[in-house]
Amino acid sequence: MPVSIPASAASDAPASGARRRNLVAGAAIVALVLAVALLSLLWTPYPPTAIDILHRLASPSSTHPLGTDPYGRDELSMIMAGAWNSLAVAVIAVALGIAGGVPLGLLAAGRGGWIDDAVMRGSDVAFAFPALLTAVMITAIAGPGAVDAMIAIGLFNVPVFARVTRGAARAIWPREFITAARAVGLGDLRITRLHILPNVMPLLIVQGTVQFALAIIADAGLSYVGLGTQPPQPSWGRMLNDAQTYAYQAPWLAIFPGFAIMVSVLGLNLLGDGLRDVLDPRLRR
Amino acid sequence: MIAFLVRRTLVLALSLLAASLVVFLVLQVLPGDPAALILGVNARPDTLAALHRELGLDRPDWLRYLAWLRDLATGSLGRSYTYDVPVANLIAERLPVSLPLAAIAVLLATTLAIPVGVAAAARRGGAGDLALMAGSQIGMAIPDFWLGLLLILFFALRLAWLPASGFPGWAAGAWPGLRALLLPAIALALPQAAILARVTRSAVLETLQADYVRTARAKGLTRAAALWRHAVPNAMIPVVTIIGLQFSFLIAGTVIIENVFTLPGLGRLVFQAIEQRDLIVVQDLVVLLAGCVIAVNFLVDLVYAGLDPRLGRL
Repeated sequence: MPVSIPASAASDAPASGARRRNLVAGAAIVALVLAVALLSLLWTPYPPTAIDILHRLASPSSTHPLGTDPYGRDELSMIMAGAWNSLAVAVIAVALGIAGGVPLGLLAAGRGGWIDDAVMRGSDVAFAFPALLTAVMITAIAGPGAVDAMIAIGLFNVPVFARVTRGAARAIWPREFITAARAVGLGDLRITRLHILPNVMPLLIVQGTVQFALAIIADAGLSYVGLGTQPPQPSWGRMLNDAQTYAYQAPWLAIFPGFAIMVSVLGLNLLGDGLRDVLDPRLRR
Repeated sequence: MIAFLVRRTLVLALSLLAASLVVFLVLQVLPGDPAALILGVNARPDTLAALHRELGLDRPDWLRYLAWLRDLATGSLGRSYTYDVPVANLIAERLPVSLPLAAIAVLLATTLAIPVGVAAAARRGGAGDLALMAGSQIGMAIPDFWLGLLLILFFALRLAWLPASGFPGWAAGAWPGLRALLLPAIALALPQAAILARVTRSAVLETLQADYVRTARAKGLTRAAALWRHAVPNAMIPVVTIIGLQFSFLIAGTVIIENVFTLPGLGRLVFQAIEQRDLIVVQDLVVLLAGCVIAVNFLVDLVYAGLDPRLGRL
């Protein structure tokens, strides 16, 4: 019997060629979604909020490639506008996470001791509040809106980035070039800025891509249950909710927006995997 | 081990306390006047004053926080403003839906993901492995609520095999109840299984290279025996960690999926409470769900210590 327990280093992916393909495919998909989102600001086949009750629930055709919704709005135009909305929420949510989490992580790694403990235990507690619970609380006191979704997803991202940053930064502090920097008289703050942060950056870019994908899914879920983007602003999650009532007459309405979410998330995940290989050779096994 | 348990339990208690403080601050202190929030902008001053007294808003914040903590500790959880019953009763009515749903989902996800992940690792680079890696990429990209919608379209509307929505109640029998929970549980489980299968695969690939697996093979164990008796048990530590980390996503997923399938669980309750501005119900539910995540992660730590005795001694 052939022994196929791998003798060489186990790789996560079957071959390095496949990994390069991930990067290229991911970048292409993300570029496409981004292009569609930007295009929607300048042009959509129909105005995405234009109601045309005479042509409601039309099946896909040459005039409406993806059909129309219960109000006669063009599905393709709404999906294009929804792409912009999704990306905007996700960008802000990830930016909030980075702005809050990275300084905390750098501080925890640089200072250690009780500050480190406080940041880590704090992030444990924060992890117990998935974006949905935070959005529920914000909506209960401030009413629903896209800003709720951004803040809720952003807050959930803070401990994620704090942990990733802390973990990576702690591995860098004991290295020789840090000791050297200290020997030439650099302070902790300057060392963090000049040496720690640039070395943590590749990991942050990879994590940013992953969180971006998660933010798109979270935003869609929140808009689906009515906690995120409010009508008439088109959003993929909301479109799926509207589609559910008419799932029998117009099943395509329940398919296309979800497909748009899936493609965007798939692209970002592939891009993240690819970037990990390129940017962080230490993780390559 | 005792010291480890004591320390972990202490951290658990402090985390629960911190979570309750966060929830209280956001829902009771941040809005300024919760009574005005509950009654809306058109409330008459005397109704507002009456609700103030009823909710005990004339007392200082810290006293109200302690009173709420006491309610939480005794399990009474305060009184719902709209239903006028103890919140504990509302939750007790909904738990028989949400709890089995979450449990079936976790069970489905793990029983599907672990064997698939192990099989893929055992035949690395084979057709099955490639199919798993591609399939799990797609699985991770599919939002659970959309998958729920697709399952409704196909299995409920087209094939009419399973109900599209609603819950008959366990009084109607175990089978009708399970039938109602099957599609939502699958919708929750598949995206989680995709991640779990990938983690299992890479964890097993790693342990397969360990010296003890080579030793096991050298002393004559078959490949399958070395895999299942040595590689797989040691690969379970990262897998258990991921199951714990996924729990907060499972909670959020359950809340949303209950709305997709109109199941009368905690997820529906939380949205009804928001619509009716029943602040105390929102507050109790959020702290309960967050508490669940904290408690599960505590359990994961214990399982961890059980799987790897070295961790317990630290």
